Amino acid sequence: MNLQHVRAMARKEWWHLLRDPRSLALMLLMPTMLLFLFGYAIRLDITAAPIAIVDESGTAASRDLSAHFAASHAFDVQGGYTDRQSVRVALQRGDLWAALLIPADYAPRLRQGDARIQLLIDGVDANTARLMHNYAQLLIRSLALQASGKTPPLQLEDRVFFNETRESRLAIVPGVIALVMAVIGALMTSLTIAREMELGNLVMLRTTPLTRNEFLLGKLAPYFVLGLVDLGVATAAAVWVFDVPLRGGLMGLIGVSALFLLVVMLQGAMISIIAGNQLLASQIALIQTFLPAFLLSGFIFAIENMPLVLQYLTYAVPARYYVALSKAIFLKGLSPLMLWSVTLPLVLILVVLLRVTLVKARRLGLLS
Amino acid sequence: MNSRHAPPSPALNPAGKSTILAAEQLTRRFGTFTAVQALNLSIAAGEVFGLLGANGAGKTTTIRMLCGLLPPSAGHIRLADVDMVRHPRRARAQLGYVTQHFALYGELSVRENLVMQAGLYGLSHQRQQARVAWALDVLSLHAVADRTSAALPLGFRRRLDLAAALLHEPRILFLDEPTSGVDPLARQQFWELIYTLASSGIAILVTTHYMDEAAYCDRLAMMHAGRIIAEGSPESMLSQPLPTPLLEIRGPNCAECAGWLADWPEIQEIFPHAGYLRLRLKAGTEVKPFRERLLTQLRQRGVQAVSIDTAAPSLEDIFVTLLESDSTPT
Repeated sequence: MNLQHVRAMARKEWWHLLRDPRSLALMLLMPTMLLFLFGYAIRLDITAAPIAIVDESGTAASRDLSAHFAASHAFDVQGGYTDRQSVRVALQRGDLWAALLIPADYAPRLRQGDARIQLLIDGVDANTARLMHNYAQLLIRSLALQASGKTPPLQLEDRVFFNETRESRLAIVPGVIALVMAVIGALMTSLTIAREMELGNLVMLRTTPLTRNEFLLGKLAPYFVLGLVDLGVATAAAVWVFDVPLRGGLMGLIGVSALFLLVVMLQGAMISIIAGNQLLASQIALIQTFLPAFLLSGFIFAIENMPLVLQYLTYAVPARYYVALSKAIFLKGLSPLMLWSVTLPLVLILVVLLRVTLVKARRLGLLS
Repeated sequence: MNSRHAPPSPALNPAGKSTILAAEQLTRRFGTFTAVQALNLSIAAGEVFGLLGANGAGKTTTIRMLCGLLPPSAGHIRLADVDMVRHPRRARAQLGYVTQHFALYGELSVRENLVMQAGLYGLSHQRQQARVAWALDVLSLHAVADRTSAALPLGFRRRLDLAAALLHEPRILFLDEPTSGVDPLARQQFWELIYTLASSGIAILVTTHYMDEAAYCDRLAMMHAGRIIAEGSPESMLSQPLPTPLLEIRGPNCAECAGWLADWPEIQEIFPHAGYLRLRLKAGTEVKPFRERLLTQLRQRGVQAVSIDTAAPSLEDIFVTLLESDSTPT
């Protein structure tokens, strides 16, 4: 390994990057864009869901119930709905996400201890429907306790750690960083080697004393640096814009991210060499890295809830480990056990990828 | 330059010059097809060696083996006393290769391409600077040093290719069709450069299909079907009597004769030119009686012929003749 050869290759690649404003912009803007897009767009909790309350009872008790819903941050009570028919129409049109029906005999039945109220929910979005149901359930339960006038024999005193306000944003942003790393790392590197193969520059490189290891190292080094810059940008946005705490410390984050970056970059390099042209390479890279990082990493969809086959599949998705690590570092801080149980598989994947890439790199025709 | 055009000594290597490249029994097979068959070749320092041949003759396969890009199926290559097959890395430091197509980076400037190339050959920082400055100088690239390579005219790009191949001071330079597509003036300049380089002691192997360029080489090898069918200096090749005699008919309207001459059995080929007609006769044809018969015919048909002379063969004639004798089994 001649470091000067590596340097020459890396410098050339760096010039290439600076010369190509599109890919540079892609690398520097995409993380922020993805972060803002996902950070703001993906909501796993609800706030201010439009709800109507049809109060047929019109008593002090029913108004008390309405007030509870109005006070909840989850619901935004819409006025002007007085009968069941108009509520049905509004649900149909999507003006309302839910409607609470308080029947005329609500107050007397409440006194008898047998009150029934109805919640109509727009179930098109199953997740939102479930969330609204849960919120309403909580409200009603606390109200019922008040009405009975005595404390229940059993009570749950819960205290949420790490994401105290249970905001899904806090869990999503670290996940987005994983996604950004996966996409930047693999997509960019998947193009870079294929380009040399496509344009015939390899013919020239083959006559030089450059070895394939020097070639790979030199080609990937600039992307590694850019990847870390992206990490910095994304982390800064996460901490200062999205108020995500960074409890595990910056060094831990950098170390773990560097490892993950190496893995995805090798994935990109391997794809690049096997595909041999840029179009195919970028498509494979997208399918092989972006989609698994998005769907199978536990970023949005909990791995525990997946069918068993998919659960096993996630073990081969590097992003799975990084999402877990990233969430832990941002929200909890790293425990040594966590660190080892998650970095070890990543190291294992890294070794396998390195082996395959080096074998496949023989087809580049460079010196060994 | 003048000394180069003087006939070189019959000894193939100029006196005192060491052999830079020696290939022995070089063979390359692709499946059952033999692209290059038992080829022997040696090039001395300061020598310009031309490899000629039609497309498919095995020129490119040969050059790729000599550069270490393609392992030979059999045979040995020694380049500056390094075994090319066994020590490709060391051998590569001794050779420069200019490919047929521009293979540097179009998005980079001329200077950046050179700096990168110098780095790939492991030159120290100081040496890089010195060699890049030298290359820009010798190849007159200073004016375009900071221009994007892809935007340069072809002639400049060829010179950039050449500059990139020279940075590490190779002892032999391989030029694969270096002047194809380049305008005549640039071709002339390119050849002058090649002479300058050769006189500094670099061995040069050049492939070309321009026969007039072949005459600029110190020594030629003509390839056909994977073998060298003739080798020697252009002068020695030209001085050998051609088995198929050449005649030139000069006259104001001799072009008309091409029609009826086509039926004559002795004539192998007719090349019409402006103001004269060139006839290549079949091997073994007696020139004198043929010339008499031709004169009589011309007179009978009332064609004014100023002269009918035997013509000196060009390299192209020799090449064509060699190909014919090679492909007709005896």
